[in-house]
Amino acid sequence: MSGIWLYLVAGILFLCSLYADRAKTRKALAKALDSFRQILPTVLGMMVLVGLVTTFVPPTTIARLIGPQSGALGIVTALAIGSAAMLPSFVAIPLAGSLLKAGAGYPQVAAFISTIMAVGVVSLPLEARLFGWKAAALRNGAAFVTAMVFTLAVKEILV
Amino acid sequence: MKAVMRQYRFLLLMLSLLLLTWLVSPQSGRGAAVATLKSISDMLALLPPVFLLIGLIDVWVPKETILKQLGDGAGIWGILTVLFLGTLSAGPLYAAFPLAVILLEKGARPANVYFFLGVWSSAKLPVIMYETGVMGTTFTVLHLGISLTLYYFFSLLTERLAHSLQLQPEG
Repeated sequence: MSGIWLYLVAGILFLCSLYADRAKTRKALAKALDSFRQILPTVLGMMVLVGLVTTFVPPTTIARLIGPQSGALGIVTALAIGSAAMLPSFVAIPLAGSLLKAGAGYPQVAAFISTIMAVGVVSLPLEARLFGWKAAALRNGAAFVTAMVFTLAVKEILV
Repeated sequence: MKAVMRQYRFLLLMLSLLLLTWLVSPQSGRGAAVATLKSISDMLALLPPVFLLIGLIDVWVPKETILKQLGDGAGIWGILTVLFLGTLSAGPLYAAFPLAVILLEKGARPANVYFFLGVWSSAKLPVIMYETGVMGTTFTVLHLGISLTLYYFFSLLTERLAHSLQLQPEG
């Protein structure tokens, strides 16, 4: 359903853009293709990984680890995995969809995607070099707390 | 070229794993391949408009021009500018780091820069629409509302804690 309005909004804006400036619209299309090409290898790799994992790890195991009944431990697991590295949101959302289909619970997926987008322990040294350790640690800590609050909200409201 | 190699390394590794699986156990390999194709087709159903929007925004929103006007004492304008740019930009969070450094060097308010990073990481307009499709509206509204509110609060806190400390040795 929301997929339809995504197409609708993009389609209308595209037509407006085409009407206003053909050359700019062509540049926009080139940029769209370029961005898509850039994330495609990572997304496809993630999809294969998810395909492999779901084949070898039965849904019952996924459900036990991060399923709706996995409770606080499942949330902690999801927060920990999500905090390890950072993935762009375009990659995180399809991954979240796959996890949900594989039997993960909503709060656990919330914990995973909110941390994977904003908390990155692996990239912390890079961030610290740019902003200083204090600011980098604070930003990651803040993003982690935010992820926890969001997860609890999903747990209370959506489940 | 090296960057391209690095991009594809992960995909190639995963594909060889899939191939290996198929050779060892054709049944599992088939299962994994079918699951993979299913997620890819789910993704392809929603991703084209997301990237079309990214392209359109990139061409029509003059980011650099706006960023230059984000000086100190920008007030509520600063917050709105940051919100606007963060939601309309494309790319992973580490792509925003160099931009944030430039902003800090140019004298932008640190709190605004940290808020910018928060918005960039979690609230991109095309992705928000995509997220609504995959996770549902309530989930997405909660994600956005809570993230933006807390990120703003924490950006003020980070500014106070990190920058008072940096200024002390000099003063």
